[in-house]
Amino acid sequence: MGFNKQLKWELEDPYVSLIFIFSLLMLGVAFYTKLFVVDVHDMPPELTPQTARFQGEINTAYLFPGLDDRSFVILALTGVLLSALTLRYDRDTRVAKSIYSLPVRNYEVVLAKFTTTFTVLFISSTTAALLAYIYAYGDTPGMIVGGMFSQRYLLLWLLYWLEAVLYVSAVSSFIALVSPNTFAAILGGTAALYIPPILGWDFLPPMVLTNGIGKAQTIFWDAGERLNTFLNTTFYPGILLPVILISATLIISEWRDVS
Amino acid sequence: MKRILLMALLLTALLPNTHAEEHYGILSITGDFGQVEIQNVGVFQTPITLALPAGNYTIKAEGEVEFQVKVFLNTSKLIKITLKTPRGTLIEGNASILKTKITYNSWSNHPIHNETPHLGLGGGCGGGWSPSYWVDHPYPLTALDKGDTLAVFMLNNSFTRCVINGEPVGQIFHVIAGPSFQGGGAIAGNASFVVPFSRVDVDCDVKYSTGYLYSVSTSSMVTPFTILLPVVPQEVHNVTGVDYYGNIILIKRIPKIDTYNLSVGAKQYLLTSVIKLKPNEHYRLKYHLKTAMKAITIEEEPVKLYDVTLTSEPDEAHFKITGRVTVEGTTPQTLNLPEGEYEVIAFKNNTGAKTAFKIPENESVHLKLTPLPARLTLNTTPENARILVDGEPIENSTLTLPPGEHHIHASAPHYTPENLTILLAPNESKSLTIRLKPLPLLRIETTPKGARVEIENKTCTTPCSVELTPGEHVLRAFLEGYENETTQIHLKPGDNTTITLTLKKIKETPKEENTTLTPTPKEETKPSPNPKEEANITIKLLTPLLILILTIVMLKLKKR
Repeated sequence: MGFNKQLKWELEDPYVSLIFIFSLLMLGVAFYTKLFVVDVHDMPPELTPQTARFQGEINTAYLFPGLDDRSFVILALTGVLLSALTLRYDRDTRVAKSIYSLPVRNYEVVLAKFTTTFTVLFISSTTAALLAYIYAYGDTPGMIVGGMFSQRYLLLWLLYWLEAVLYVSAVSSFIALVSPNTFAAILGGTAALYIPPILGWDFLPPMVLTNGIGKAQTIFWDAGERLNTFLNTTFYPGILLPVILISATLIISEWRDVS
Repeated sequence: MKRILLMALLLTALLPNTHAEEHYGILSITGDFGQVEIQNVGVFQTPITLALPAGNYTIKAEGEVEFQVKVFLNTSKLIKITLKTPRGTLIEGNASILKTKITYNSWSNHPIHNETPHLGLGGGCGGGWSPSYWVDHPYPLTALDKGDTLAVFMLNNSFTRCVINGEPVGQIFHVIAGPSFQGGGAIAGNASFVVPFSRVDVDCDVKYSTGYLYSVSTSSMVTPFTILLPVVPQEVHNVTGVDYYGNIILIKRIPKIDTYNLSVGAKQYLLTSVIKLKPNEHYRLKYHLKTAMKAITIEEEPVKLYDVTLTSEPDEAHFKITGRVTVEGTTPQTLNLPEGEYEVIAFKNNTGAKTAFKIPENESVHLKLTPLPARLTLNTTPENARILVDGEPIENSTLTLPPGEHHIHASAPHYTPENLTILLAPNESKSLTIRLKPLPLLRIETTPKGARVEIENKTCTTPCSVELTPGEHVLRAFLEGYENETTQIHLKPGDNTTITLTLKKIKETPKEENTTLTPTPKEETKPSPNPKEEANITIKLLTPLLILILTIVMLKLKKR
């Protein structure tokens, strides 16, 4: 039994599927309701078909769902539940004893569990965002295609969601592994993810991601520069911090034996 | 049954009426401009009177001053437009004015205020008012009211000094501007390039009229007012600054921006100048809007129009009616024409017909198209001119052509080419004289002599003469030790004009500190990324990779 089999086994867990459906539905509703209250206006100084189309493409692409207060609550809760379920719950129910006694290294099991959390979160959030977005703006497919591909907003939004999900899954997985039980994992994970937005810490997600995409949108007209600005603004909290936490989780999994 | 009848009535009302007649109005254009363009209609020699379907029309005329008139032509109305070359100066001032344009738009109403605005703004660095004043060309700019009669325009993604009491002397900010957003982060003051400003005082003979930069007008732009505009004569690359936290801000490119459209408007009239500015200068412009208003006069009066139906055999022939008004169209068509005598020529596929009719006597005109050819005799000056008729070169000066519209292009070396359109009726003999005018000759003189002058792709050293095409030309004069001079000239075919430019000596100024307001030329600022910045990017990319490698090594080394 290797990493692939372990990953497949984790993804086939009915509880994981249930959380996936919960996340997809809740995020879908959150994005859908948000999209219908957002209003973006622009007044190009000289309204020509070209300026109107260019501005329309940018505005349509910018309206792709991102994280606000409501959707971050759902994303964080889903991430914490998934990590607690995959990494902590089997230890509490003693199922882990049989898993970790298999001829597979501990870190490979933990990596499979982390990958499950990340995959489920990423697919549920991006699918919900995409469905809500197409439902709201699908009647202007030319604008969506122009904004997403010509203005390269698709890459920007993929990077945004990749960093958001990486952060949530890395923080929740790390806390789940170092927590003494499932209850502590849920409590600790929720606290760790909620404290930054409650205290208004703009150097951590979700605020740093929202600021990054806003800065990229307003300062630059060039698609490459936009992507570069977003990456530069969000690199430490969105990529480096999760990588450190994942590495720490994997190393700790080798040190901490299953009791 | 009643319901079915009602539904049928409703459907009839909703369905488009395919037999609807177009309703016409009369547009008459006179003036001292030889040629006018009516957008989506055509180019005509003035005076011209046209019967046109009711709707919006834009008329353009080009000369030393550009004219643009936007009017709504109503059914059974006659609009008389008179375009006259303005008597007197339109815009006076010490800025280099590249172009002047007078616009009349019947849909506009540029406000005339009662007094100078009272905005209650402080003169400090932070005091200002900017409810999303935004222009996106030539580059994104955002505006700020800094006083009752002072507006500042800032260039997006640049280092700009804060304006205190009308002078850019305050803290340096990293300006970030967007369509609905404007912000700035103060930096420590060691920016490698700070965008210089030039001050433009604008006054107008119509007091308290409204000023515009492109299409943006701020609350303080009520004449007389002052605006501060960023002026970057050359692109500047890799500009750096350090913020309060010690982070390096790198601006890869600050674009060249030294030409602006500055307008003053009152009611339906707008007087626009395209001005070219130099950094750190003080300009004064006086707009003579009353003179501009006299150059365009619009009169509207009712006119009695009568229906006349034009048919032909075969159908769908192109026709042109001449007489009191000119109309073009395709048969069959019902037109509204004023009382008078008219002549109509219709043509299709090398067949044609010509007839005369009177309004209101004739209510319908039928034309039977025949393939009888027409004869055209051409007399051209100079004799060696090359003539193309419908794109084909001709061998004889007497031609036999099918009835209809024919395009003639005449050209000769050192002469201005001409394009003509002629309409020939069946069996008609017509003679046409084409006199090509010599290309305009411009003699350029400078004080002092010996300056290098560039006009598009031509160069000469003054005093010199240059043969140019008719139209607008921008002249640039360069002489070592003197400031560059730019001016614009409008040339007509056959012109023989002399222009004299006086060059100013460059003032010797002591060098400023590294926050100098003089831009670094492009050549001297070759892209050379800051070593610290480059190292940061590399470290950024390597760090996560290094952490992952370390983790794998540690996990592999630790035995189960």
